[in-house]
Amino acid sequence: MAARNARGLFAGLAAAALIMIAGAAAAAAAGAAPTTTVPTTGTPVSDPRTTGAGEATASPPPPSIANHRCLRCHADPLEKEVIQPDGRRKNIYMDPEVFKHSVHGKVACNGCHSDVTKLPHKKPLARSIGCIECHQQQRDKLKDDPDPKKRERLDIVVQQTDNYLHSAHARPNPKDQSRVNAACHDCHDAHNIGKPGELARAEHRLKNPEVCGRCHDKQKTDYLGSVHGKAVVEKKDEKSAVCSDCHTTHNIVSPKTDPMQMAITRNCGDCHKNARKTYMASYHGQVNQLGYANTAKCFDCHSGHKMQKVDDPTSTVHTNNRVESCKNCHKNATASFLAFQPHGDPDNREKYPGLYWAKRFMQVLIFGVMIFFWVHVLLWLYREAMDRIRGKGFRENLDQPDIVYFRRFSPVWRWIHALFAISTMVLILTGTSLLFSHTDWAKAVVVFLGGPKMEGIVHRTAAVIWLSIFLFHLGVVTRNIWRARKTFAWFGGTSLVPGLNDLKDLKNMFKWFLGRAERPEFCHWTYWQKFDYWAPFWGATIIGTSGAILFMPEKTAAILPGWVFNIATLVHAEEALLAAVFLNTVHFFNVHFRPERFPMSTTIFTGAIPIEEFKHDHRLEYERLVALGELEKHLVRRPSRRVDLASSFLASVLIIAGLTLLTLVLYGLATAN
Amino acid sequence: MTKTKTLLALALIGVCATASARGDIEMLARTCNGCHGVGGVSVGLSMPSIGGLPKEYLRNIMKQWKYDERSAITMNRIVKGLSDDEIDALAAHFAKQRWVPAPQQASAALLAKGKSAISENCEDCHGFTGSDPDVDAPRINGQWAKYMELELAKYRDPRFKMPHRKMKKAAQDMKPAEVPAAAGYFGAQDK
Repeated sequence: MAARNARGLFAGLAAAALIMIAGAAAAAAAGAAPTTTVPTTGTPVSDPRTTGAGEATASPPPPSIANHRCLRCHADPLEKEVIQPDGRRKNIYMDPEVFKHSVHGKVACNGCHSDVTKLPHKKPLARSIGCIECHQQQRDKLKDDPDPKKRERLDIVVQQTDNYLHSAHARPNPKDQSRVNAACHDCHDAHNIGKPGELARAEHRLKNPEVCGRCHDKQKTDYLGSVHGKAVVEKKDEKSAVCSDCHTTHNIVSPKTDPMQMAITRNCGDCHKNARKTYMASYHGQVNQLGYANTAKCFDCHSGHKMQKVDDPTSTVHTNNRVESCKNCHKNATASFLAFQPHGDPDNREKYPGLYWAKRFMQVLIFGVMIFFWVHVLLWLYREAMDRIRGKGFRENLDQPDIVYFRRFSPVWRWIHALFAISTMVLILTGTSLLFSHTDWAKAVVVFLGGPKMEGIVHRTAAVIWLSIFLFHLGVVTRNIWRARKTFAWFGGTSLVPGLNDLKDLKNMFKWFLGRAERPEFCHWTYWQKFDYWAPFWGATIIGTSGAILFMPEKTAAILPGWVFNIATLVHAEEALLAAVFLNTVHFFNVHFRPERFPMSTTIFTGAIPIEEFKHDHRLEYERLVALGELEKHLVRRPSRRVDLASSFLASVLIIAGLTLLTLVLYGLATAN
Repeated sequence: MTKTKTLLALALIGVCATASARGDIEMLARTCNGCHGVGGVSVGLSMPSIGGLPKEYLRNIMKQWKYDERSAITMNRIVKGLSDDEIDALAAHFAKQRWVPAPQQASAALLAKGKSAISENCEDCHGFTGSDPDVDAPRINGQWAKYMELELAKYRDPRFKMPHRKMKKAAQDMKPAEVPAAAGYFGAQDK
C-alpha cells in the first residue's frame, strides 16, 4: 500500500511538473500567436473583404456577421420553413427572444455557425459547430483568473465534453463514417441552453426521452410505458428518472459493458438511496461495488426501460414474476426465493424484524466480547508493565537458559492450529474483501486473485479446509476422551470445559490487575485459553453453518425459506468480523504481545514451552504432575536451533499477516458508510 | 420483320415528337424576345434580362402572375395565356441561357452610396455584387438599373401585391434616396 502510495505521489509530482511546463509553453505560445476568438454580438463588425491575407493567423476567427442579418430570415415567425434545394421543407426559425436569454445569448450566430463567412450562405448549412474547441478555448482564457468561480461552469462543460469524446456517441457512425453517432447539437437545443436553475433546463430535462428517442426509438417506447416514463410525460414530474439519469449525460458507452452497467446501477441509487444502500450490503451489490458486473444489478431484476412498481402485475419483481426473474441467473430457483429479501435492511425493525433482532444480537455479542476483552488486555498490559518496572514477574534467566522444556502440544494439534490459522486468514482476507468492497484494498485484492469468481473459489476452498479441520479436531477430541473415558475429568484445570473455578480465576486475575492480590496460579488450561478455544468453536459452528447455506443457495433454498439467506449473510459477516478482530487483537496479546511473552510465543509451533515459563504460567499443573510423579513423561529437550528458527519465522509471518488483516478490517469498518 | 418495322416507326414518332416539343418551346420563347431580348438578354432600360436566372425563380413569378398572386402591368396578362407546363418549360429554357450582364455607367458617389445601401438591405440575399444570390433570389449584377428601380418601387408600394415578404421588407427599409443608388450599384456590376 505504502509503496503504491509512494508511486502515486511520485507520478502525481511528475504530472504536475509536466502540466506546469506545458502551461508555461502554452503561455509563451499565446504571446506569439493569438488564439481563435468567438465573435460576440458586441464585437465590432469587420468586413471580410477588407481583411488582408497578410493578417491571417494560423487559426483565423470567422468574420463577424451581425446577428440581425441572420435573423432577417431565421427569426421570421410567419415564414418558419423554407424549401431546401433537395425539395425538403426545413424549419429555420429561431426565437430571438429565447436565444437572447440562453447561456449563449451574447454569442454571434457565426460564432458557432463558423462555416458562414458570407451571406447568403450555402444551402443546406453545414453543421460545422465546434462546441468542444470553443468551450476549451473559453476555459483556457480563464485558467489564470484569480476567481475560480468564473470558470466553474466552463470546467464542468469541458469535463463533460471530454467525457463525450470518450463516449459511444463520439464514435463514427457505422452507416456513415463521415459523421459521429450523435453530436452536441443532436441532443442540446443549442439556441435554448439555460443556465443552472432556469426553466429552459427543466424543460430540456423533460424533453430528454424524446431527444434520445429520436435515435433510440424502441427504448423510448419501452420507457414511456414505464413508471419513470409515465411520471415524466404524463405528470411532468421532473424528479422522475430520464434517460441521462441512468445512462449518464455524456459518458455514455454501450450498456453491455461492465463500467456502464455499474454506472447505471450507481445512478439508480441517486434517487433510490436506501435501495442502493441495502443492495450494496448484499452479495449482489458487494461484487458490483468491487467493479464487476457479473452479479444481479438493479435492471437485472427490475428490468430497465420497462420498469414498473413492485405491486404492478407486469413488474418483473412482482410476486407472480419474481422467481422467473431470479431464474435468469439462478437456473434452479424455487418458490423459496420469494422469501429472500434482496433489499433486506437490518436497521428497519418494522419491515424486517428478524434481521433487525439478529443484527442487534450480533452487535451485543461483538461489543460485549470485545469491550470485555479489550479492558482485560489493557489492564493486563498495565499490570505486567508495572510488575516489570518493579522487577517482578517472569523473566528468562539468560545466564542459565532452559534446556528442559514441557511438551504442551502433540504434532496433531500443532498441525491443526497451523492449518486452521492459515485458512482462517485466507477466509478473512477473501471474505472481508467482499464485506468492505467499498475500499480500494478490497478491489486490489480481488483483482490480484483474478476477479470475484476466483475469489469465491479461494474462499470456498479455504472454507472446506477450515471446516474439515474443525470436524477432524472434533474426531480427535472424541477419540481422546473415549480413550481416557474412565479417568477423564470433565471439569477442572486439565479440561477445556469451563467451570466455576474459571470464574474464580477471572475474579482473582482482575484483583491482580488492580494490584489487590497476587497473580493467580493456573492449571493446564487458563480461563482465557478456554475462551480462545470455545469462542472459535462456536464461531466455527455459526460461520460454518451460515457459510454452508450461502455456499449452495439453490440447494438450501429447496429446503429452507429465502429469509434464511438474509440471516445467514448477516450472521456470517458479523461473526467473522468478531473472529477477525478478536483473534488479531486479544488472542495475539494473550499469547504473543504481553510483556512476558513479547514479541512472540512459539509453543504452538514447537509444541514445547521452557520449563520455567511453564512453572510460571501453569504452576498448579506443574505441582499436580510432580505430585503424581508424571512430570518426567512430559519433559522434552529444548527444540533444535533450526526448529526454533522455523517456528519463529512461521509465527512472525502469521502475526504480521494477522496484523495486516486487522488493519484492513479496521480500515474497512471505519470507512463503511 | 413486322416487329422491327413497328419498333422503328415508334422510335421515329418519338424522335419527331421530342423535336417538335423542343421546337414548340423555342417558338414560344421567341415571343418573349420582343421585350426580354434574344436569349433573354434585354436591351431595353426598363426591361429585365431573364436568360440565366434560376428556373425556380422564373417559374415562381410567372405562376404568381398567372394566378394573380403578384401585381404586374402586362406580364400577368401574358402568362395567363400559358399553361403551367408551358411556364415550366419556358422557365427551364431561360434558366439554361447564359447570364449576360449589361454593366451601366454610374458615378463614384452613386456607387459609394449604393454599396452602403446594399450591404444593409440587399447583400444577404443577392450577394455583394448581385452575382451570388440565395436560392430564391435572382442574379442582379448588370441587370438594368431602371428596371430594378421600378421593381423596387413596386415592392415599396403597399398597393402592389408582391408575395416575397423578405424582399418587400428589405425594400421598404430602404430610404427613398437609396433606391436609385442600390439599383445603380448593381446595374454597374460586371461580375
